[in-house]
Amino acid sequence: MEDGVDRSRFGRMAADLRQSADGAGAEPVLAAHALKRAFGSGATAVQALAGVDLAVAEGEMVAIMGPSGSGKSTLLHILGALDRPDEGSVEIAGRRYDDLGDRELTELRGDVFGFVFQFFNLLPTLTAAENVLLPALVNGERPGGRAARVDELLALVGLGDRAAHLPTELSGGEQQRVAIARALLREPTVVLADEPTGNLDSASGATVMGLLRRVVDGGQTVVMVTHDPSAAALADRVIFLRDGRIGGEVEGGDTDRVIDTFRGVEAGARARASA
Amino acid sequence: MSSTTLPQGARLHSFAGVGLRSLRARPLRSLLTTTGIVLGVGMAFGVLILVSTIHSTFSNLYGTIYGNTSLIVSGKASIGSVPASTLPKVRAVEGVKGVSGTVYGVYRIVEGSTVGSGQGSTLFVAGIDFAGPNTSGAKTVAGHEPKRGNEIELEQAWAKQQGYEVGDRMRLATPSGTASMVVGGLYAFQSSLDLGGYGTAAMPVATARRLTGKGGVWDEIDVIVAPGVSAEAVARRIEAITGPGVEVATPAGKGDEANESLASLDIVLYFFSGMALFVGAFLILNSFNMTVLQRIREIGTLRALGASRRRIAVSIVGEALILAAIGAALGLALGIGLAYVLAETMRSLFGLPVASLDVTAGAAAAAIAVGLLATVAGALHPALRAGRIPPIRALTGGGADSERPGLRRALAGLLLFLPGLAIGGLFWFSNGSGGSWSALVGVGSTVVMFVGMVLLAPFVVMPLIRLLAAPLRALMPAEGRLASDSLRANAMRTSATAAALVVTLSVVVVDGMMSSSFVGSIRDEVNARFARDFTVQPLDYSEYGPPSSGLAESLRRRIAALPGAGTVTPRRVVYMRQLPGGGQPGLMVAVDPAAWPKVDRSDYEGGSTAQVMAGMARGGVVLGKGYAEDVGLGLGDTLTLEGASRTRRAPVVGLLDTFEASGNEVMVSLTTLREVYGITTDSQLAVNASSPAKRGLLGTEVHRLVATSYPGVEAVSNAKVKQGYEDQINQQFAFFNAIIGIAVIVGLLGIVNTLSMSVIERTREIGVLRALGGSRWRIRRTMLDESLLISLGGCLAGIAAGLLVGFVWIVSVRESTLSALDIRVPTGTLIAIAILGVAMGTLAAIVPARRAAKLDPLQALTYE
Repeated sequence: MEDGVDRSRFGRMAADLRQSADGAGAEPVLAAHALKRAFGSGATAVQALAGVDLAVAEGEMVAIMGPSGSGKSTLLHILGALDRPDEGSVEIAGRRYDDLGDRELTELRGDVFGFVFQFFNLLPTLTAAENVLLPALVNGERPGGRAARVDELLALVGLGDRAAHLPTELSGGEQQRVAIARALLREPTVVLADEPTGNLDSASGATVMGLLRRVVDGGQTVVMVTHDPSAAALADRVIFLRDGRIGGEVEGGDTDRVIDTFRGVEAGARARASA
Repeated sequence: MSSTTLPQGARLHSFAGVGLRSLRARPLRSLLTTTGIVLGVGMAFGVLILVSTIHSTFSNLYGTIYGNTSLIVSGKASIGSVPASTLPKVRAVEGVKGVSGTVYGVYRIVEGSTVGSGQGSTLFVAGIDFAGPNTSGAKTVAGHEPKRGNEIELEQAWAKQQGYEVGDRMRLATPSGTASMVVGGLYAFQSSLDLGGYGTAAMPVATARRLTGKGGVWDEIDVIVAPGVSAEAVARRIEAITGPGVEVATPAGKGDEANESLASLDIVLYFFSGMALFVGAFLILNSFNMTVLQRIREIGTLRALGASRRRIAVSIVGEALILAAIGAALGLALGIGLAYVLAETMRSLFGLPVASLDVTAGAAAAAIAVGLLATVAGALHPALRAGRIPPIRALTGGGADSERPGLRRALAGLLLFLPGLAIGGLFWFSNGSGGSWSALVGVGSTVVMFVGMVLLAPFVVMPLIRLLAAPLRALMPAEGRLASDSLRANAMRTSATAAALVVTLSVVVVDGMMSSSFVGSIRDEVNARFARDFTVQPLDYSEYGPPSSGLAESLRRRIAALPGAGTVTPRRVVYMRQLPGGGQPGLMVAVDPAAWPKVDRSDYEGGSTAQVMAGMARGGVVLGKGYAEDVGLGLGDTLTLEGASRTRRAPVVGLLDTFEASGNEVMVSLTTLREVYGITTDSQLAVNASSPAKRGLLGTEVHRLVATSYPGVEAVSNAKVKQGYEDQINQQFAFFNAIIGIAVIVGLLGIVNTLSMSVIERTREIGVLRALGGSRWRIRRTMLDESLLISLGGCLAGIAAGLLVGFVWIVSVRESTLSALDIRVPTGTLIAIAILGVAMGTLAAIVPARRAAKLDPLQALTYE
């Protein structure tokens, strides 16, 4: 084992991606075409995604909203190489990855994506610093190479003095900030966040969202699933899913506009359903 | 390492540390998981030590007492069978430098008026012609070689240990009465000899002949080959002049032979330690299966962070190996203790000479290796399964889908169980020690059978639990329902736990069934056959124990002369490593055809008792039925008897259903035994009073005679003979039971483990119950019921499986060898197992139930 960071195929891909981002920037970094995904079979089958197209630009923050069962989490999982679509394709910087095997998808998850979960998913036996370091260890790196980066990230999320604390000794908001630091450790091309504020009080939620926004302003691409309009409003663009399809889209920035659009999508869907 | 700088607050150097951390975070489960390995490795190590100790004892014995001997000439059949006339013939063989004849005896030391028991007071005495060449290489280190009739020379180390010095007096219990000896000298072998307490001594051959009644024969003739001459060539020349009943071997060859005869014992021991490892691996499997379920979200997270399937699997196996390493270290310590206990048992129960423990690095390495192997075998399935769970299912917690045992499992189970059962029955208990090969096949197929049993367990245990749950649900609708539903929802976990019990308890049942069937059948045979009033025999008489000296001829005459004495007839028993005509070890039994029917009511096949006895008197043989079948002989066929004195072709005149020597028995007349094998020593006397009224009188007289003149001899009633047989069988089975007990402990730990997992897994559910108003007591009840259902289900299935296996095996033993064997169901054992089941279930539930009841409802609800 070499002590290199970017030794795998997708490690190189990640490096390529970063380079190409410096250049053009017009091409979407993350794209989905006609995604379909169903769960179960027969009478109990549920069409979670019924044909979704999506393009996310470099350095963009996209929020995906929708009611429960609208397929927003499924979309995020497919984008994050955690699941595969039944039909359609996903591309990262123009390279298709929905048809890859488990090994390649694993490398992709480690090298290209960073994940933030609703329930933080920190390892309870590891300290904050160790949790942040975890992606490096999981991907076979020596811890030394990332030591400075861990310190830096913990400082970034405002937890420089809690490095040695276990998750149980941290509040929910602090745990989620550790999770964000963890997602950023290996400089992923895209950070994917699944309801990052879903399990937090509003003050902690605001801190976490402010942090994500700062990361995007630094050039990071973020795709986030949320049901909180004020969190979604911090994104550059908000996409609404309804019954497995994109029901609408609105520019971020204003919470009221997001809420109005969301209501419009819901009303339209009800109208279609009753028609 | 020191160059590595870690981030502040981090102490992990690699991914491996993550697994280690989680082991440390769950000390109780880690401990429980380790216990399986500790016991398994301990068992393996203990048995390996024991086996190598027993073997090195024999190798050392043959290497030491034959210091100068090149070749040993002895009867093929047994000791005491080379005619005295052979010695000059051997001496005359070209290339022989010197020969020395030996007569052996085993005597107890008499202290005051009591005969000592145990190995410290047992002496193996060689009667030697001290004028002849020194074949043992022993040197006299104190006093002088025994010259006068009552002098004895002791081995120096043993004498020191027992406190004997030159000039001391020592009284020995011999068949011909108490012999008063003087310690004339002490000798030392060229290397030290450790027989685990037994002592060795030498006395003039004339004295030995007088004490043992062995006139005119040598037990063996030791040969020194002239320098430069090939021992092998000399051996061939000796064989040419002595005939087929005599065997010529090197001391090393004798040692190998002794070791070979222990091979089947080795296999039994290996088998039991294998059982412990099997159950240990099972515990690991269970425990890691639970771990995977419990950590499913964590695994999902790691997968999302880029951990490959392999990394997850390796990490889980790695955790298992860390536990295995700790467990193996503790297991080695346990193994030494266990070997000590087993060796002690071997000495006291089987009278085997076992030296002090021979702890080798090889044995330790082997035990550790099998421990690690069992661990990997147990952890591999859960590890691979963890890797295979799609990350998304792991993240959303959907990976805990309850698997249901399917048709394929049932089929695979049947395909392993049934042939394993049938073949195991045929080989495992096949004729005596029918060679290590058949024992190996038996062990192998038995293991296959157990694997099948594990696979089949859910199909028996789940319906049983449903059945058992019915009254519970009627009595306590809420708790009973919760407990049984939870068990059924986790069918795989439930049956995995129960399977450990099924396997271990079925072994206990089979064991109990075997022992009670043997004891019962032997009791019946003794009741049916014994028409005698007393049996007179050497103390601790055993056909298989250390070679006993037999009875003095004078004893028979003196008992016959007692008032009230009727028939007094001898039974001469020779243990043979190879019975004539076959290859099985067994007993050659000689009786007086005229007198025997008066003390023995056996039914013979092949004619009336009178006809069979008449045939025997004419030189015929009676064969044990199982042995006759084994060697393919029937009535009227001819069996060749090859003795040291002569060879004779003898017709089979009768067949006998008997338990003795598992039916491996050849019966001849006293005359035939003397003429062919040169043996004239009585092993036992069957004594009858002249009339039933005189029985009491005769009894008193016999006891008095024995007590005053023959301290090494006892007179026992038929009830005591039966008791003796029973004790022997019970002791042997007790030895197995002790080993099986360890497996049962492992099974119990498995249950505790599974149940505590089930509490952890259902923390949230318990929170809901508490939030809805369930009292602590109620939660406790639920856990207890669940535990009781599993253990009772497992016990009943174990009893059923054990009865089935026991039935098939006993039938196959009966059909192949022991037609006299009847099936007995060990009711006591079954009741004990059922009680054990309830006790285990209750015990296993104590900790988890307390933990469940103590859970704070609020915390439990938000538990992740």
